[in-house]
Amino acid sequence: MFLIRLHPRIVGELTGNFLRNPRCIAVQFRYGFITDDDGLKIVDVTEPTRPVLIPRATVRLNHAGRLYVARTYAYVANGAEGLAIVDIENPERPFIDQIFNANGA
Amino acid sequence: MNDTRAVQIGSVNASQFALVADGKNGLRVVQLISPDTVPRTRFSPRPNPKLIATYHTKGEAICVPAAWSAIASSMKPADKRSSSAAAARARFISTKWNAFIGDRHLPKTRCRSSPQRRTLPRGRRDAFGRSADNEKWRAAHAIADADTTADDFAHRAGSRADGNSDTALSFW
Repeated sequence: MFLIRLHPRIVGELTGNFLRNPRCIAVQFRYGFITDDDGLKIVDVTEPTRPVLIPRATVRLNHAGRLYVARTYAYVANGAEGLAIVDIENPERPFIDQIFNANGA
Repeated sequence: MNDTRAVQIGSVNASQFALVADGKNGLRVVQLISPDTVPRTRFSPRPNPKLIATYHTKGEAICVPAAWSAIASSMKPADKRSSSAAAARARFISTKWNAFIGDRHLPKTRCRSSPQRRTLPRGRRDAFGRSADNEKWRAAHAIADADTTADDFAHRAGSRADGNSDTALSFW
């Protein structure tokens, strides 16, 4: 987490082994959505300098890459499996709504 | 779609599109929500994705610029009655794509139009055949979402009343 000023500095960080090779983050209101080796993970950034991980809010995805959060769905580029659409209406309990691959087209 | 690397979402009126960088398969255009496929009965309807266009890039498509959500926001829902609609859409996207990667094979004049330029001179039509006085199309998609912004976000914003204005703007 940075302060966007002339002299940015780190004011907080997620410690521990929660994230494995994180790739992309999208923030929506109080929650940050992060993709890494395990899939989609969610952190509570109500206090941005003290992000809090939500242990049970992990959606397993094999090839999670970049993502985009729109309203109550997170769209995750899931490599060989296509586009994963994750329902995040309750960010503490996300689940895969569907995985779209256009029937292999 | 079996090599997806990145995705950008854009919305216009009652429709929502995704631009997907699909690696070796190129750029994909996916229609997530439209009045024809998803009944707009709630704040965030469940998307019903359909692949509507593909552009085969010269190399692997690995990223979609964030600004491209504006392109998706200037698109028209798939019209099942018009067989040329998908072709026009692919042509439009490919024009933008080539503009970005600097393909010199296309006339430069075709790349100058801004995706956010919504106003057209009378009698002129855009890449989708829309004209400024196309009342028929506008009437079919005139569902305003003015009532589904601040109030619906309020319960999610929680203690941070200001929310994330950037995210909110890019939503719908």
